[in-house]
Amino acid sequence: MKCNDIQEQISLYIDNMLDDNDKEILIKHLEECNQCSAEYDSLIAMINMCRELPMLELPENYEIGLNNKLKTAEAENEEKVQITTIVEKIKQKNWKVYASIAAVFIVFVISVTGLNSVKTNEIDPGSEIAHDNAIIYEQPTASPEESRSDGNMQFSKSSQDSPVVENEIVGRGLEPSSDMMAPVDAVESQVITDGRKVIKNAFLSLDIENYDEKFEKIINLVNASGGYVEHSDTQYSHYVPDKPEESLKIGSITARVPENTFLSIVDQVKGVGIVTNFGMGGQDITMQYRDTVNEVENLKIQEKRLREIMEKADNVKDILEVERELSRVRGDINRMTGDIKRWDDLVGLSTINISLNEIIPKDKKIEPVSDNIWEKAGKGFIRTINEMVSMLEVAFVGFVSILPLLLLMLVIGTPTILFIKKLRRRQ
Amino acid sequence: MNDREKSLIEECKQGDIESFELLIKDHQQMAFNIAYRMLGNIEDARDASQDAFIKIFKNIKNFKGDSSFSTWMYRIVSNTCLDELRKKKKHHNYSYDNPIKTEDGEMSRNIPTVENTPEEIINRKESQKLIQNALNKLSDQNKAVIVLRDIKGFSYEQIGEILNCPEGTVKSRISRARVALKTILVKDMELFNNDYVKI
Repeated sequence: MKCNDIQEQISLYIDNMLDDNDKEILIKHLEECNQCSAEYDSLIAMINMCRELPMLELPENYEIGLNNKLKTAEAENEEKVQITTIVEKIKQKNWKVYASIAAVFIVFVISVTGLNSVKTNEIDPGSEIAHDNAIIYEQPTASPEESRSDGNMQFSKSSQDSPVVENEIVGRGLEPSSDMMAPVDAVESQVITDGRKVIKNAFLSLDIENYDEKFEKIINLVNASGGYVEHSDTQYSHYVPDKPEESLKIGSITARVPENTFLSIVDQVKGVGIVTNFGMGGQDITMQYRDTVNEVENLKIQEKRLREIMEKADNVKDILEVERELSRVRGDINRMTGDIKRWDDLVGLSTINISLNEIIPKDKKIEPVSDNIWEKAGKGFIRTINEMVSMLEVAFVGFVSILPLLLLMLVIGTPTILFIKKLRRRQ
Repeated sequence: MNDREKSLIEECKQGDIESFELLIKDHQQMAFNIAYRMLGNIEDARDASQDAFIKIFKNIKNFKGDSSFSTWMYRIVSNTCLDELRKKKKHHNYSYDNPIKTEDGEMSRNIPTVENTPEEIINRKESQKLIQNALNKLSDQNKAVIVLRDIKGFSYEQIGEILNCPEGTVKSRISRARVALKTILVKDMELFNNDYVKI
C-alpha cells in the first residue's frame, strides 16, 4: 500500500468509518511506516485542538435583534403575499372574460340608448311629467354606477336632515303620493346596494401561558386594527405569595374592531393560545334598518307639510294643535336617527368577547424538584420550633402570672388546712 | 422529529414568530457558533446566523419534512455562511500584513503585537487562536467540513445532508480538508518558532 493512498484512510480511521478489513491493513501499515504514523499523530493532535475550541455564548441582544429582524421580514412577507395574490387574481381571470364583459356592456348601452330614443319619440311632447318619469326610470338601467352614486348622495343628504332635501322635493313639484314615494325608492336602492347590515360578534375562550404578554399582544392587535378595547379586567385565580411569577391569572377583554378586520382579528387572537370555546354570531338588521330609514323619510315629509300648515294656520287653537303634532314628529325623527346611528356603529365595529385563562404548561417540560427543598424543610423545622417555643412561653407566662395567686392560696390555704385538721383532731 | 416540533413548524407556516423563536431556541447557539467558526468574527457570525434564521422563517413553508428539521436548518446556516464568504472575497479584504505600496517600492506594515508574549503562546487560548487563524486561511469548502466534523462533531451522514452531497464525497473532502488544515498549522507553527522561540 502506498503512503499517498493511505491519507484518506487515516482520516476515516480516526472517525471509525473503516470496515474491519481496511482497518487491519491500516493498523499494520501504521506500525511499519514511521511517516504515516507521524501523520496520524499530528492529525489526531489537530482534531483534538479543534474539538477543544469552546462553544461561544450568544452575543448580547442576539435574540432581541433577531426578533426585530423577524418582524420586519414578516411585515415584508405579508405585503408581498398581498401583492402576489392580487396579481394572481388578475392573471386568473384571463382576457377573454374581460373582453366578453366589455362586449356585453357595449351591447347593453347601445340597446338602451336606442330604446330610449324610441320611447321619447312615442310620448306626447306636451306631457312634461311623463317624460320626466321615463327618464327617472330609465336612468338606473342605463348606468347602474351613476344611479348608485346618486342614491348615495341623496341618502347622505337626507340623513343629515338639511333643508336641501326639502328644496329638492319641493322643486320636483309632483303629486303628494309620488312625493312620498320618490325618496323612499332612492333610499331603498341605497340600502340594497350598500350590502347587508349585519351586527357581528364573537366570543373566544383561550387557555394561555404568560398572561401579561398575551394580554398585551391582544390589546396591541386590537389597537393596530383601528379598534378599541371597550372593557377589560384581570384577576388572580391562583395566587402564590412566595412566588408571584408562578401565580395564575384570569381575565376578559371586550374589544370593538372595524367590521372589515373582524375575521382576521378573530383568527389572530385564536393563534394566541389554546381555544377552548369559540362562537360567532351575526344579527341581520337590514330589514329593520331599511324600514326605519324609510319611516324617517316619511316623517320628514310629514314634518315639512306640518310646517306648511303652520304657516297657513291663524287661530291659536290650530297653531297649538299643529305644534303638538310637529313636536311628536320631530321627536320620532330624532329617536329613529339615533337608532340608525347606533346601528351604524354596531355594524361598523364588531364586538369580540375574549376570556383568558392562564395555565401552567404541564406538557412542556418535566418540573425539576424545586432546588430549594432543603431551604423549605429548614423553614418548616424552624417554624415548628418557634411554635413550640411560643407555646412554652405562653405556658411560662401563664404560670408566672398566676404565681401571686398561688402564693396567696398557699399563705391562706395552709393555715386553714392546718386549722381544719386541728378541729378534726379535737373532735 | 417529535410532535412538539411538528406542531411548532405548522404554526410557523402560518407566520407565527413566537413559535418560530421557540423552535430555534435550542439551535441558536449552535448556528451562531458554526457561523463564527466559518466567518472568523463575532459580528459577521451574528449577522449571518440571523440572516439564516430569517431565510429559514421565510422558507419554512417549503420544508417538507423529509430530513430532520435541524439538519435542514444547518444546511441553510452553512449555505448562508458560504455565500457570505464569497461576498467577502469580492470586497477584497486586505490582510493586516499586506505590504503598503509606495513610490519607492513596497513597505511592510509593522504592526505591534501585544498578545504574543511567550507565556501566552503556551496558553491554551493561543492554540485556539492558532486554529481559528488557520481555519480562516482554508478554502470555503474545506472550512465548512472541518467546522461541521471536527469542531461541531456532526456525523458523516448529517454533513452529507447539510452540504447536499453523497457520503463518499464527504469522506474525501474531510480527509483533504484535514490535510490542508494541518499543512497550514505546521507552517504557522514554524513562523512562531522562528519569531519567538529562538530567543
